Amino acid sequence: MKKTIKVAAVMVSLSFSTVLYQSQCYASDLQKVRIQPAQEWLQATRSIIYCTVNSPPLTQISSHAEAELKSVKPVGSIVKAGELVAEQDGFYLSRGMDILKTDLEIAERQLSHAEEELARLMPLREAQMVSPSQLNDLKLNASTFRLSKQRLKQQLEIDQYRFERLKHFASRDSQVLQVEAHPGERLTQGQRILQLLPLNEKQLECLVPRDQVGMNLAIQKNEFRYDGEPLSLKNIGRTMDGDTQNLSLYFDGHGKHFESLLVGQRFQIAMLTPTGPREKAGNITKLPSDAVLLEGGKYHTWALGLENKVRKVEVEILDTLADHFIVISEIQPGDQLVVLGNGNLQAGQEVVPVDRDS
Amino acid sequence: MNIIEKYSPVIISCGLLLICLGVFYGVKIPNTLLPNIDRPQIALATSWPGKTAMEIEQALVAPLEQELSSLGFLEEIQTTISNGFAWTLITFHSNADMEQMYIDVLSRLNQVPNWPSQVSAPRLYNFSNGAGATLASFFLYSTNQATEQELSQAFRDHVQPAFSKIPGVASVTVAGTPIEQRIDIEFDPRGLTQASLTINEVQSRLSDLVDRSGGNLTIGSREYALHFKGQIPIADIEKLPIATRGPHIIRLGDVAKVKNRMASDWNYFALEGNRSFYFYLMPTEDINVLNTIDMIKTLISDLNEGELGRLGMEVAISRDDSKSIRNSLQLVYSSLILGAFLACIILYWFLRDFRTLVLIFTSIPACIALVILGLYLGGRSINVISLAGIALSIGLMVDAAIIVIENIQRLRGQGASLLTSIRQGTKEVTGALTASTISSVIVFLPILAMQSATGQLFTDLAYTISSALIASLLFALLLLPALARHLLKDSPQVNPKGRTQSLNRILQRWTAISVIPIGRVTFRNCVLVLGLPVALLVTYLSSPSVDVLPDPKQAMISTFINFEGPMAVEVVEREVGQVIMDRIEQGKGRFEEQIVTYGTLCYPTMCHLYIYTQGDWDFEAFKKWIDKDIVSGLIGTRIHTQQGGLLRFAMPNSRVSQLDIKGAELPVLQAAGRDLLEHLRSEFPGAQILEGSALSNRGLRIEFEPNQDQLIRMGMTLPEFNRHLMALTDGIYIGNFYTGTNTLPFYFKAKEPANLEQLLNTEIMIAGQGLIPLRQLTSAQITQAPDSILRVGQEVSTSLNLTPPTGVAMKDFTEQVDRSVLAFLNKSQYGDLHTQFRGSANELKLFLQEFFQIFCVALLILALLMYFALRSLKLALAVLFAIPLSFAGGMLSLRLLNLFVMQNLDVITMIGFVILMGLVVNNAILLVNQFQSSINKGMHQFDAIKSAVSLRIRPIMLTTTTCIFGNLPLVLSPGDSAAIYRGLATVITGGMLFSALFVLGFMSAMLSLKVFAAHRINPTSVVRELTPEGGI
Repeated sequence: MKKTIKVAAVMVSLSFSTVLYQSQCYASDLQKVRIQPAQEWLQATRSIIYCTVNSPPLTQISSHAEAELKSVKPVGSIVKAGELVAEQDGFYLSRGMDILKTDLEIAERQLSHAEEELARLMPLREAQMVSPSQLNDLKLNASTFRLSKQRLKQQLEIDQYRFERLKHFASRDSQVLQVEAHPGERLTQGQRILQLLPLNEKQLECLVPRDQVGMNLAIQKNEFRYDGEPLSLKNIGRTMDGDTQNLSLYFDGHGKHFESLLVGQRFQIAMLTPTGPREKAGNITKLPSDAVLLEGGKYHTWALGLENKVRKVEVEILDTLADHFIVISEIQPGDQLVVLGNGNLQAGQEVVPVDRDS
Repeated sequence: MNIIEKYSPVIISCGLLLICLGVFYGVKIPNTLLPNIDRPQIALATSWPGKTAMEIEQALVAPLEQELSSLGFLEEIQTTISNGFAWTLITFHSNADMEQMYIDVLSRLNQVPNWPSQVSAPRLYNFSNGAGATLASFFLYSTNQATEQELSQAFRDHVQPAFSKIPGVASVTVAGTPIEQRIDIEFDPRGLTQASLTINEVQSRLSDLVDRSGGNLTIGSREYALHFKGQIPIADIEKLPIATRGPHIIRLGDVAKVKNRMASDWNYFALEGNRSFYFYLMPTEDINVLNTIDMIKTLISDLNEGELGRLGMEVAISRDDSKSIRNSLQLVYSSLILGAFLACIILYWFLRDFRTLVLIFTSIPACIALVILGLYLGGRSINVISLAGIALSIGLMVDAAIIVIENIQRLRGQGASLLTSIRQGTKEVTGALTASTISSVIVFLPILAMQSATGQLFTDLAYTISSALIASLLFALLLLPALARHLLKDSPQVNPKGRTQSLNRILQRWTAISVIPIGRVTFRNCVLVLGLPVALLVTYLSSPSVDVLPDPKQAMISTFINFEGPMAVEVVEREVGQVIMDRIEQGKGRFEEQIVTYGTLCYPTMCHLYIYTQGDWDFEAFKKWIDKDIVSGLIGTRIHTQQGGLLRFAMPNSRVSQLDIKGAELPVLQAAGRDLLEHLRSEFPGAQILEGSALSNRGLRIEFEPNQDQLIRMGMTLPEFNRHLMALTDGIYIGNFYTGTNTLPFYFKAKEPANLEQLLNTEIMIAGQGLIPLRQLTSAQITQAPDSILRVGQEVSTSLNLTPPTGVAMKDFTEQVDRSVLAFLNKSQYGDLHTQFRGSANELKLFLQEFFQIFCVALLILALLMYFALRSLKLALAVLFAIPLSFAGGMLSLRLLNLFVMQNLDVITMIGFVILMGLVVNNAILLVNQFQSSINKGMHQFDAIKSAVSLRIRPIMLTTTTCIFGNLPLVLSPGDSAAIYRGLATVITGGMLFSALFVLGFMSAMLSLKVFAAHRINPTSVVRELTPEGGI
């Protein structure tokens, strides 16, 4: 009995060790592969478009009056809104205005006299003590003096307006771009003194090739990002460059992240085109480039399935990043893909997955 | 004979002089592992860094092959093309005048049309002057992180000049770590666009940076040469103005930087963890390998302590074959000495006379000295083959002396005086000795005529053995009689047979056994009828498998790590090379004493790890350690570990055959190759079956398809656009300019883009259009292209490399593979394709054809010689019939040897049978000669046989046993290198043993036939008898 138990124990242990050994042998026969997961990607294709910062309309500061230019800000000066940028001398204008005031008073006195005389002689008309022409003359005088007064008043208003605009202020934060008059110069009316470049009113113009826009110029659905920040599309150009076949897109240049951009500067933004209805169904994912294999003109990858068995999945490359491909396929984000050891794999083959860090 | 008596002191003096000369030249003669093999091959190495295999094929290889195809004596052109490199091997017919072929190839190279100016002319390697094997290989590494340029510069300045001066070194060749440099004027595309510069604008300012001369100008009484400076020193080139923008001058340094970089990426080569620069030495034709390697070691020591030490660098030998060569030669030397000692013992046992022994034994050093003198004068070397030939000849060297001395002593025993005995005794055997020597030597003539590369191995063997035999004859007929006059003067006149009673009894008994067939007809007929067929049957049944060459092992282990696809060199270094180096460094503890050195050579498709060992090491233990701890976990690799072979550099690829597949376009050939590879791997799991050429397009490339419509709108031509692309990637070649120290190629190129996206987003300035991003002008697509292409006979082919499993002979393996391949192709859709073997299998086939021819020729020559010597066709045939018996002995010995060590029927062993043929007929000749003489004296046939056997048994046994015991150390030597000649020695030893045991009995039976019972065998004597005096 004891002998039988002993023998049985030996047999059982031998069987176990055989099974274990076989399983180890079997395991050691399995091919090892390195795996990495597929990553999520925006359901859109991303392309780079090239933009320039356009200058907004420049602010022109011109002389309203004929007056000497007393001072002007030099080129390059940064001025705040409301800051004095140029000043003209008002002496002649103010004396002119005084003369006008005197003329206006004279005209007022004359008018008053004429109205008084008319009022005095009107009752005498009934007594036929005064001629109609004489009365008409008095009426004419009164009208003339009235109009003269009006004209003088208007003249005075104009001069007053000019006088008030002898000092020129920046309407917004700007930079003096160009100075066309010099201090001491007697300016004429309408003569340009300087040009101001508004600082916070940049316009971004971006060029998109026709091929990327599509037949229906359906570009409004696209998203635009600069340094990750969204950009809102302001306008789409209605003309296309004859040579380059580029379409212009216009964006607002407001915002802190545009502060550093200078007019004339070239930069790039990302345009994300959502994937619309497509021939092939699938997800857009980001795969490690080592996971994508090319064979017979088609791309595929090996995905790890249940029980560590691999399956071959065809993919279509949409875009290329540094070490990744953006593909459309059945691959889901998080699926484990074979990046090393994918030579001679067969569909359904069991493998031993190894992480990158192991 | 009077001359010998008269001038014996002169003869002895001359003999001594020749012996001294032999010793002197023995020290001077070159030592190598194997004889130089002249292959009728010339190879061309073409390098064009940065270009794909397809581009090189189209631009360089196809026109080159076209030009070479008109060469005379051309057998085959084979080219292997990979990215950046092509290797063209031109094989000529064996009767081609290789010097003329070399000149023809050189002249053809200059006529290849449209050879690009920036591609250097191909480098030539002439294998027809024994230049196939490399001498040694080295690593140059830095202990303080020197750059690749610094290592290259140190190599140029210090290492290469020093090594080139060593006698025996033909050239110093760099491999895997190319030293070519280039100057890149590297611009940032953004910098150009910011300055609104076009690439053409900048490039045009960089062309033609050379000084020029403009004649002379006379001022006063002096003439002044006019020199126009154009060359700009490298340090100042960034100051070169290239454009103006208003008052501002834009200089080159504002938009670009000048960088000196290596023209090609280095593979990862490392010695004991140190990343290294690698080079090897090619030997001259007449090199003394051991001396040269000793000089190299001294030079290395000087360099490491001197200039290199100051730079923090060291040179180390990666592969030092001198140890193997020394060990191998010492093994043969010791076998030689031991063989001589054993032969001496046997001689004494037979002769029992010290003076006689000394006389006979003197023939050994005398003949060896003469053989070495002959080797030196013949421009040969001391190598394993020639030394083995000398060792095999130990027994043969004493043969002639034994026969002469025996005869002299016999006559002295009969009462003749010393001088008379010497004179008469020498004269009596001169004819027989000469005939037997000629018969032994003449079989080597066909061997000397062998032209195949493998057959050239035996020239030294034939040379030494035939020299030894001739020296032995000369010694026996000239020097021995002269010495005997003095040495035997005072010795008693005793027949040596009187001193060896026990031996005599044995010989008598053996004689009695040998002549049994004479009196018994049935037994005789059985012996005769069955003897030959049984011998032939035994020969056939016991023959081991046929192989090309023996596979002597070396104290070295190689592990090949093959990747599933080509990888970038930096990835290989990081993921494989450095990993295995670190693991060895950490885990070598228990093997430290056995490891001499270790290193790794990594390429884009594979890594080769090697470890040289010493002392008592176990291959299996090392293999287990490597498989478990060093290379385990390397995903995506196929690992193969084997012990190093001694002949791998002397005879590269001696166990590798190529199977070429041809007859269709590359994609079809690749598909067929892949399917066939899988099929053969499953059929022969123990063999190493690898891709010989790429079986899939593993070369990944990005194809740029220009938008032609856009280009035309931009006013840009396609070549102009491609120049832009080249500028943005590899660079536009500007020209070769002098940098102050070297002339280097200058390239104008953009900063390397980080990735494809960045490249496509690069804006380029197009005149009149402004800045246009690249992606608007071109699309990019990843495609596959072949990273290597094989062309055989100017036809694209694919190939598989086949190495049989350890212990399986090449012939068996290739036959099995051939059958399997044919069956596979017939069943598959590749029935239209055809295959052919190259390499080792082909060499074996050629050798076997050649061997069969020389065997038949040797047999025919022997037959004719026997006929003229014996003047009887019947007797000649009788002698020849003794040969198969010895062959049976040779084959049985090989079979017996196989019980202890693996010994196939390789080409060296096969030659043993040819040599054996020439040796065994000697015994039969002696017997038949004596029989003939007895018959001519009127003796009865049977009595003549008995007389011949009894008279000749002693010398036959003496010569045979000395030969056997002289060869025995070669058979029993346990050293690794003994595998080269062990089979050869076994065949000769076994064959001679069988000859000694059975030839006497067989010949007795043969000679007892009635056809040999003629009253006189000699036809001249027969005619005299039949014609009474006075005529008929």
